[in-house]
Amino acid sequence: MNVPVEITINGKTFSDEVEPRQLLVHFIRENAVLTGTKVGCDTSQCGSCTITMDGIGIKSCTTLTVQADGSSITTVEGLSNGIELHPLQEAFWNKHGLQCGFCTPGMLMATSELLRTNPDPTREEIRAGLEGNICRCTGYQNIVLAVEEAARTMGG
Amino acid sequence: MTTRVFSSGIRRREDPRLITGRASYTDDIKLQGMANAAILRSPYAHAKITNIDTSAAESQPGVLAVFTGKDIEGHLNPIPTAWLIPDSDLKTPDHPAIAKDTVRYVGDAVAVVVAESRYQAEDALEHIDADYEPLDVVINPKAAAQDGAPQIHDDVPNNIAFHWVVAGGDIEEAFEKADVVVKDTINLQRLIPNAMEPRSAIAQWVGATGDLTLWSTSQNPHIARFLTSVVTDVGEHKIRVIAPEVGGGFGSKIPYYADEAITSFCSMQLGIPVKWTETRSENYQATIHGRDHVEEVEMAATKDGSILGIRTTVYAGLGAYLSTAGPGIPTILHGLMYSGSYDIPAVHGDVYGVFNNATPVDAYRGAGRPEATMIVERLVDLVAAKTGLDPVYIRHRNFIDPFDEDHDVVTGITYDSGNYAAVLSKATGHIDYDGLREEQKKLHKEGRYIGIGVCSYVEICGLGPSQVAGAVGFQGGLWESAIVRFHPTGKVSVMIGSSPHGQGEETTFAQIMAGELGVDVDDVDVIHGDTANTPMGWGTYGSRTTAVSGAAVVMAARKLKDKAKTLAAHLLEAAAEDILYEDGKFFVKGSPDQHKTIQDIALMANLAWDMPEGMEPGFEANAFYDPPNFTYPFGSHIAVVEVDPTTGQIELQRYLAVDDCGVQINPMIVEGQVHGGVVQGAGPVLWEGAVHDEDGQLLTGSMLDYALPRADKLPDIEVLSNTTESPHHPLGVKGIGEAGTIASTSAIYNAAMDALRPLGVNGIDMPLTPEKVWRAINQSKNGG
Amino acid sequence: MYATQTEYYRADSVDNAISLLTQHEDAKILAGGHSLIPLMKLRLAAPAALIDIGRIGSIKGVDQGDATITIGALTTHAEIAASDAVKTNCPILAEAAGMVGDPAVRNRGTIGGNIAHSDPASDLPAVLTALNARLNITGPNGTRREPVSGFIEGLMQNNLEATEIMTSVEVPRSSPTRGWLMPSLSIQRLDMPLSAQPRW
Repeated sequence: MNVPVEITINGKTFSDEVEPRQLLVHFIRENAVLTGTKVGCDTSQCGSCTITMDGIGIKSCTTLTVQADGSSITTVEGLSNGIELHPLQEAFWNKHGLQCGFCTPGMLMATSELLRTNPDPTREEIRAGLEGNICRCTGYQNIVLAVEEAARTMGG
Repeated sequence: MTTRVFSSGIRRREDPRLITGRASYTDDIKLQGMANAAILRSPYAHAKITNIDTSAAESQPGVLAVFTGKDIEGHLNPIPTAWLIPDSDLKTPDHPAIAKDTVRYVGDAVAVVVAESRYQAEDALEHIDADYEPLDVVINPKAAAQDGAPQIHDDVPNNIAFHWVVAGGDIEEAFEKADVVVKDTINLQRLIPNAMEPRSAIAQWVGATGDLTLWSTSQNPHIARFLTSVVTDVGEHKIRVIAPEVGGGFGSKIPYYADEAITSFCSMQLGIPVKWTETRSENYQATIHGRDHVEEVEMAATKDGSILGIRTTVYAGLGAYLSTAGPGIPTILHGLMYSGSYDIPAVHGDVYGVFNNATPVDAYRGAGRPEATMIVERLVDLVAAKTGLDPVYIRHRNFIDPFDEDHDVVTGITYDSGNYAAVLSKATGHIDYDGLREEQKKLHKEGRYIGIGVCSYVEICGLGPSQVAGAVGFQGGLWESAIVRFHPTGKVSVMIGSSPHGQGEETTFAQIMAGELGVDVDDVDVIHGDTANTPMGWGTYGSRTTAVSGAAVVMAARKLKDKAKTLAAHLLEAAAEDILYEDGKFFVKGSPDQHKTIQDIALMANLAWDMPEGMEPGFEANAFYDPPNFTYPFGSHIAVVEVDPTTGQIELQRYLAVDDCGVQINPMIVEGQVHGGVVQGAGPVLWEGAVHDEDGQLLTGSMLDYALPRADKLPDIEVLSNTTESPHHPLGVKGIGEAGTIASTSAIYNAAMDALRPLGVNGIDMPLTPEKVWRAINQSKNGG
Repeated sequence: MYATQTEYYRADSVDNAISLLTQHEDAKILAGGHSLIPLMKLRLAAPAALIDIGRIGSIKGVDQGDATITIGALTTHAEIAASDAVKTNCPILAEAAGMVGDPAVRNRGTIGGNIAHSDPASDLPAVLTALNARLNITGPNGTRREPVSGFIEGLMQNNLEATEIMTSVEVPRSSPTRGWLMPSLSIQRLDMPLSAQPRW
C-alpha cells in the first residue's frame, strides 16, 4: 500500500506516493530526478549517498523515503547558492580533491556536516570525519587539504 | 600567458560539473520507455544446472520478460578473450553470456529478468526456480593445476589455460655460481578493484534501423563496440557505444562483460531500452578481480650482494573464464619485468594460467607489474637480510647505470630511459634514511619495532607499439588517434579515442594545445567517450592516455602548426622560411608587428577566401600515433611502519614517493595519481583480500568484510619527483597512472617485514591483519 | 540493495506503537533504521510491516536525575556523544557512542535500536553492562525494568517480547573519582571490535 510523502529538496517540494520499502536515495534520484546523489554500495559503508536532512548529515541509502516525509533535504545540487560555489566546492576544485567525481557529492555533503559540528578541525579530525566515506581515486590526501582550505575560508 | 600553462598545476576543467553533481554517469541516464534488468546469478561455485523454470517469475508484477541460457543461443556468440598470448599452448574454452549447462563461479549469470522497475525485477528473481547439482570446487590456483583437481572446462586438462615462459641468460649457471640463494612463496591474494561507481549498461536497439546504442561504464568504448559486434553480430558501423561520465575503473571496466551482451540482447528482444546496474555485492561477484597468484620465487646472488639471477614458478588464477585481457596480465605485463631496475644477467619464469572457480581475473591497477615488482623487491630484501648488507646499498649496487635511451634487458625488452640511482638517492636523502636506521635501533632498545621498507621499481606502460601488440597476441592495435579542429572563431575541439575516467585529460590535453599552439585552455574542449564523435582508439588503461593519445594530439597540433606557417606566409606575403612562431603568433622575422595569431589563421582557413595554391580549406588535422616503444616510468618509494607486538597492529606512519614519469604536464594531477595509486597498493598489505570458503562462496562479499583503505587509517603521503624524459615521446612524457600502486605494496610489505624480522618473523601472507601478525610473532616466540 | 515489500505504520505514541505491534504479526520496529534497513536491503530481514516510532518525542533525549542519567531509546549516538550530561557523568558511554559506525550513521542510529539489535560487534551493550545500566521496557501489560546484562541472551537475541518496546536506558551517575579504560581493537578486515572490554 503506497504512502503519500512530501519532501522538500533544495527548496523545492516533491509530493508523491511511494512504496514503504523505497530508499530515500532512490526517491531523490528517480522521483525528484536529482542524480547528483549516488549509490556506491549496499551496506551503508561508502557514503556516496550522503545528504543533509533537517540540517544533519545522513546516509540516504539507509533511510526510507517514508521516514523523510515532511523533512527538508539538501543534496549536492543545493550546496551552492546558485550564484557562487560553496567554499567546500571551491576548495575541492582548488586542491584537486576529486578525480572520477563519483564519491565527490557524498564527500562534499559529509565534509559540510563535519564543518558544521567542528568548524576548525585538525587534520586528524578531518580524517576521522571521513570515516564513513570511501574514495578509490584520490587516496584522500587532497580531500583533507580541501577541507582544511574550506575551513579557513569559512572562518573556522 | 598561455604557454606557461604547460607544466603547471592548473585546476581541472572536469571539476565544475562533478562538484555540482551535474555530471551524468550511466546509471543517472533514463531513456523514455526504458525497462530495468536484474540478473540471477549462480549461488554455487561449480554445478550443473539441472533445471530452470522461469514461469512463475514471468507472471510477477511489472515483468516484461525472463531469459535464460537457452534463449540467447543463436543470438549471442560466446564472450571472447582478446589476448591470445603466443607460444603458450593457450586454451580458450567458450564463455556463454548466460550459463546453460554448467555454472563455474558464484556470480555466473543464470537468467535475466526485465521489468518496469528494478525493485520489481529483483522481486521476480526470487520466483525463478533453478536446480543445481553441485560439483567439486577449487579456488587456489596452484591446487587447481594439480592432478585430481576438479575439472572446470572439458578441454582444459589440469585447468591449465596456458604455460608461458620468459627466459634470458643462463639461469642454471646463475644458481650454480651463487653464494646466496633466497626463496619465498608469495601468495598474492585476490583483490576486488572497487571502483566507486558500480558497472552499468543501457542498451537501446532500434529494429527499424538496425542501430544499437550502448551506454556503458567502459574504459574503452571503441573496444566495446568492436566486441559488441563480435558477440551480437550487429555490424560495427551500426553500433554506437557511449561511455558517459565513468566513476573510476582501475582496469575493472576494460573488459567486455557478459552483462553488456545480456543487456543488449534484452533490448533487441523487446525493442525498448533496457538498463542494468550492478549492486556492490553483485560487483564483488561479477566484476573482474585482480592478482590471485601463487608465486614460488628465488634469487641467486653473490655474498657481496651482486644479483646473479631470478627464477619463478607462478600459478596465476584466471577465474572461471578468460576475461578480455586476462591472459596477458601475468605474462607480457609481468614476466617481462622480472629484472626490474637491476642489471640481472639471468631470468627464468614459468607462468601457468590456471582456471579456478571464482570470478574472472583481469587487469587491475598495475596489471602484472605490482606482482613482478613484489617478487623482485621482496627477493632483494631477502638477499639483504641473508647477507647482512643494507637494502639500499644492495639496490644501488645492482642498478642499471643511468641511460637516456634504449637499454636492452635480459627478458628481451628495451627500456626507454632511466636513472634508478638518482631517485633512490633522492628518496633516502629526503627521508634521512641513515637517521631512520639510527632511530630504529634506538626504539628497538625501548621495545618498539619500526620498519623501513624500500621499493625501487621500473614499470612498462604507455601501451604500446602495435607491432608488439600483434606479436604478443593482443587482438587489437595500441596506437591512438586524435582530431584537432579549430572552429572559425578560433575555439578548438579535440577529439580523442582514449577514454579518461578521472585522470584529467580534459585539462592536460587542453594544456598540450596551449603549449603547442598558444591557445587558451578555456578555448579548448576535449571530447571523448562516444564512438559516434570520436576517432578510433583503444582506451584508457595501462598508463597510456597521455603517453599515446596525448602524443597523437601533439602530432595533430604540429601538423596544424605547419599549415599555419604556410598560410601565414601567404597572407603576410613573406617567404615561408621567414615566418617564426611564438606563443600563438606567426610573424615575419625581423618585423614582429607583421603577424597573424592562430585565431586569425583559423578564421582565414575556414573562410578560404585567400589560400595558397594547393592548400585545402579548413583548419583541422588528425594524427594516428603508434608509439615506437613502451614507456618505462620508475621510482623509489620508502615506507615506515610500526608494529605493536602485543596486538599485531601495524601502523603506516610515513610514506615517501619519489617517481620519475618524465615530463609532467600538470604536476597537481600527477601528484593526485601518485596519492591514489599508493593507497590502492597499501590496501592489500594491511587490509584487502578476497576470501573464499572451500565451497567457493565469496566470504568477503561486501564492503562490510572487504576492508578498503579509509582516510582515518592513512598518513599524509609525501610526493617528490624526478624528470628523465622519455626519448621517444614527443613531449618526453612517460605516464604515472599505475606507478603508485606498483611500488607501494612492496614498500609497505618490506617495511613490515623489516619491523618483524627481529621478532623472528620472516614472512607472512598478506593482508597483514593484526591476528596474523600476532600469531606469527607468538609462534616464533614459542619456537614454532 | 532492494528490500522486499512491506507495510508501513507511523506510531504517534508508545501506546500506539504497542497497539500496532499487537495488531500486526511479523512487524518490526523502525527507529533510526541503521540496523534494520541494512538487513532488509540484503533481504536477510523481510518483515511484513514496519512500525515507525521515529517521531515519538517522549522517548528521545537525555535527562539528568539525582542518581541516574535517563536516555530516551530514540536518542542518537551523536546526541549521546555530544551530551554534556553524559560526558560528565558517564564519559565512557559518550566515548563508546562516538565510536559507533561513522558520523552519518551516528546521526541516525539510536541507542534503543542498537541494544535491541544485540549484535555482539557493538560496543554499547558491553559498556552499558559495565555501567550497571538498566532498560525500561513497555508492553501491553505495563513497564518493566531490566539490567542490560540480563536482557541480552545471545547473538542477536534478547528477551524483548514481540509486543514490547524499549523506552529508555538508565545509567547510574558515576562518582567523579572513578576512572575508565576502553581498549577496543578492530579486526582490520571487518573493522569490528575484537574485544570491547571496558575496565572500571
